[in-house]
Amino acid sequence: MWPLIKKDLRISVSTPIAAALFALFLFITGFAFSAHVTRPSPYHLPEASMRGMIYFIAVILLFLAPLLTMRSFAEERRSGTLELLKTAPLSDLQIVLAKFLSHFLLLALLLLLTVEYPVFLFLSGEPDIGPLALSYLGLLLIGSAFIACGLFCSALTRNQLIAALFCFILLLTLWFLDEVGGEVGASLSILKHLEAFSQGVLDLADFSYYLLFTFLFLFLTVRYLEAERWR
Amino acid sequence: MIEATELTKHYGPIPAIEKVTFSVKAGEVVGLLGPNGAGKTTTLRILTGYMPPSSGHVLIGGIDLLKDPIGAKKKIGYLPETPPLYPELTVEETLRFVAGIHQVKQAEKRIEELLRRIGLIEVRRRLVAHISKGYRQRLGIAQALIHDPQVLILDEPTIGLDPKQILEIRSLLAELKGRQAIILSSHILQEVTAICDRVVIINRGRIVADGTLAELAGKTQKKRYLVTVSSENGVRSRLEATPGVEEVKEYTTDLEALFLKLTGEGDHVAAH
Repeated sequence: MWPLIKKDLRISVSTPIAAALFALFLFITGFAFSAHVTRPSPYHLPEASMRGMIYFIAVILLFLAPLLTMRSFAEERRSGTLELLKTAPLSDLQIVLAKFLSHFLLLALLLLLTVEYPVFLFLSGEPDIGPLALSYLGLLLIGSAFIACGLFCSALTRNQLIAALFCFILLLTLWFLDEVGGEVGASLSILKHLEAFSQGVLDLADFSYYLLFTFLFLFLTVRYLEAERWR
Repeated sequence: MIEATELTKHYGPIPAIEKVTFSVKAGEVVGLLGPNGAGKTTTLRILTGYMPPSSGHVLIGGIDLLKDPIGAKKKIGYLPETPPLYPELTVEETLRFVAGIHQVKQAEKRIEELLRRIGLIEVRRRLVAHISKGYRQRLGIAQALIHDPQVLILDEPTIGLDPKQILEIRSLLAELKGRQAIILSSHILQEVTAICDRVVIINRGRIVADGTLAELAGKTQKKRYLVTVSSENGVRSRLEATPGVEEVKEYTTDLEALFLKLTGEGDHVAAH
C-alpha cells in the first residue's frame, strides 16, 4: 500500500492543484484569524481561544476537500491507470485505503501549517490547551469525513469537475440539515458535531459520528469499485 | 499457462464474447486476431482479472483467477491498449512504483536491467508527459515485465506507432519469446504472422479459428502459393492460363484472405 501512497503524494507535489489549495486555505484562514484576534465582535470580549476559528476552518475545509479529492479516482479512471491498479495484485480495499491515507496525510499537513495561530495565542495570552487539542482532533476527524465523501464521489465518474460538484452538493446538504431538518437533521449535520470539540468536550457520539461517516463512505467506495467489475 | 474455458461476457442482453475457449502454453506466443469490436479487449480484460466473465473460468498457471485473484494476478504482466502511465512521474519513478505494487525484490537491480533491455536508458529521468509515444509503449511493456511474470498479455502493442517503432516493438517481443506464455491482440495481420506461433481468430465474440499459421492455411482446402517474381513480364497471364489455377491475385500475405473470409467481410473488401 505504501507505494500507492508515495505515488499519490509525489503527484500531489508535482501538480499545482494541492499547492494552490494550500495557499488559498492559508490565505483565507490567516486573514480570518487576524480579524478574529484584532477585531472581536462587539458582543464578546477578546479571548485567547480558537473557538470561532475552528468552525470557520471546518467550513473552508468543506469547500476545499472536494477540490483536493476530485482527481483521486476520476483521473485514474480517465487516464486508464485504474486498470493498472485493478490488474495489479492489490485488493479494492487496499486501493481505497491507500487513497484515503495519502489524502489524510495532505490534510494533516494542511492543518499542521495552521499551528502558528495557536502558537500566537500562547505568545500573547493563556489559552486552554484542552479545547485547542480537541479542536484539532475534531478538524482531523471532520476532514477525514470530507475526504471519504470526496473519494466516493470521485470514484463514480471520470470527470473531476463532476466529482467535485457532486461532493459539494452532498456536503452542503449534510451541513444545511442542521437548519432545515429539525432535531433529526441537526443530529445528522456534519458541522454540528464539531461544536463540543471546540469547547473542549470529547463526546463519544460526535467522535463516532465522524468515524462512522468516514467508514461508510470508504465502504461505499470499495463496494462501488467491486460492483463495477461485474457490469 | 493460460486456460480460458467457455468465457461469456454480457454487456446488457448482447454477449460481447460467447463461449470463448482456448489455452496458451509456456513459451508460446499466441495472436488474438479479429476486427475491431470483435471482443479482443473484453477477452484480455477477463484474462487479466480486470473484470470477471458472466460465466466460464480462467486458470493462470494453475490458479483460478476468480477464486484467488491476487495469487493469479501476481503471475500476469499486462499492457492495456493505452499504456497506463502517470504523466507526472519520470520513467524511473514509474518503474519503481510498479515494482512497489508488485513487491519486486531487488527492485533497483531489476529496473536497471529493464531500462537497458527495453531501451529506456536515455529517457530514464524524463517525465512520462515529455516522452514520445514509442517510448511510452516501451515503458508500458517494461511495466508489464517488472515482476518477471509467467504470463504476458498485450492489447494491441503496436497500435498508433510509426512503422519504425512498430518494428522495434516487434523485435523486442521476438526477444522476449521464450519461457513466458504471451498473448497479444491485433488487427494487423503482418504483425501476427511476424511474431506469433499460433493464431486465435475471434469474430463477433466467438472463436472462428484456432491453430498455427500452417494449419489455418490448410483449412481453406485449396492450395495457395506465394510466387515472387522480379518483373511481371506476362507471368500473370501465363499463370492464369495454366489448368487448375482458379485465381491469380496480388497479395501482401496469404493470411489476409483467410482472415477476411472467416470474418465474413471477404466479398466486398476483396473485390476492390
